[in-house]
Amino acid sequence: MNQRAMSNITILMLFELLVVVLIVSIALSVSHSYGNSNTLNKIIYTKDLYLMINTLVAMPGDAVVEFPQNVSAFGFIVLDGEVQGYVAGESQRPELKEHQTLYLPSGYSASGALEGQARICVEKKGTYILLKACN
Amino acid sequence: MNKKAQFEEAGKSVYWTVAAIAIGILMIGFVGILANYKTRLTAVPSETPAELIALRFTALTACFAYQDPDTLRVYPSVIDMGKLTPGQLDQCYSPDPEKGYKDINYQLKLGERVLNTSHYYNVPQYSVKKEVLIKDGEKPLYNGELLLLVQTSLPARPS
Repeated sequence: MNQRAMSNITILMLFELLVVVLIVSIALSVSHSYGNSNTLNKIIYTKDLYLMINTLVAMPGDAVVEFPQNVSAFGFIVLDGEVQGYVAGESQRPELKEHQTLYLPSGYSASGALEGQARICVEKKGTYILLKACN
Repeated sequence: MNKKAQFEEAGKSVYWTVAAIAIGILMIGFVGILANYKTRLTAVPSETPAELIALRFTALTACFAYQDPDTLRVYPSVIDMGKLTPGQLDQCYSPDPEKGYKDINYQLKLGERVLNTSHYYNVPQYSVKKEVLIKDGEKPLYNGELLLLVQTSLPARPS
């Protein structure tokens, strides 16, 4: 085998190595973002908040419930028809928000927006549900 | 370029085409596996939201719970038969008019009365029974069983 052929093979091997490194790094980066506890907790906490509100709606009388986790790394928005959760600082990126659709009985309303609060509470007053920071 | 060099060039092209396709399939598969993993990790059994939403049917005066007209006290688990109408059910729980089939829907059965939420297509996954008292006009309270057939998210609107 002449020198030119050898050099071609070396370049090809280097290129293959580069492709493999690139693929592995992309795979690791994607896995890391999926495995990141913030990504998963954002979804879990938003679902929990949605379930809490549905439970609270069905409670007779007024009540305040504290969310049983430190959620300082997250932000939540409660609207009449939706609960949204996001990682703190990502409020301007709607594609990263977790959404849960909320169907409240007629006459009921819900609101509240918090970000970076460690302790959050959901309060029911009559037919109004409010997401607020705990006292 | 001689014939050997041409052959080598063609061989490389074929190799990289095959490699690109294989890597592409591998990446798509990998993303699919991760997405599936995330869904499984964060899944909530559909029974949980279905039961929690169903609490309102028997607990709220905006739904079917009886409210004493004099004291205005609401009696959870006492169903006012006068309220058990489709209109009241719409006031109580009304999924999205367009995409409501993706949400939880119910069929409520109490005695002879049967009510469906707007996107109930008779595809129940399970049922929930609730022991209730029934207030029917001036008759004394009597026992009944509210049967809820629960239809969870459907992938498409049945034709």
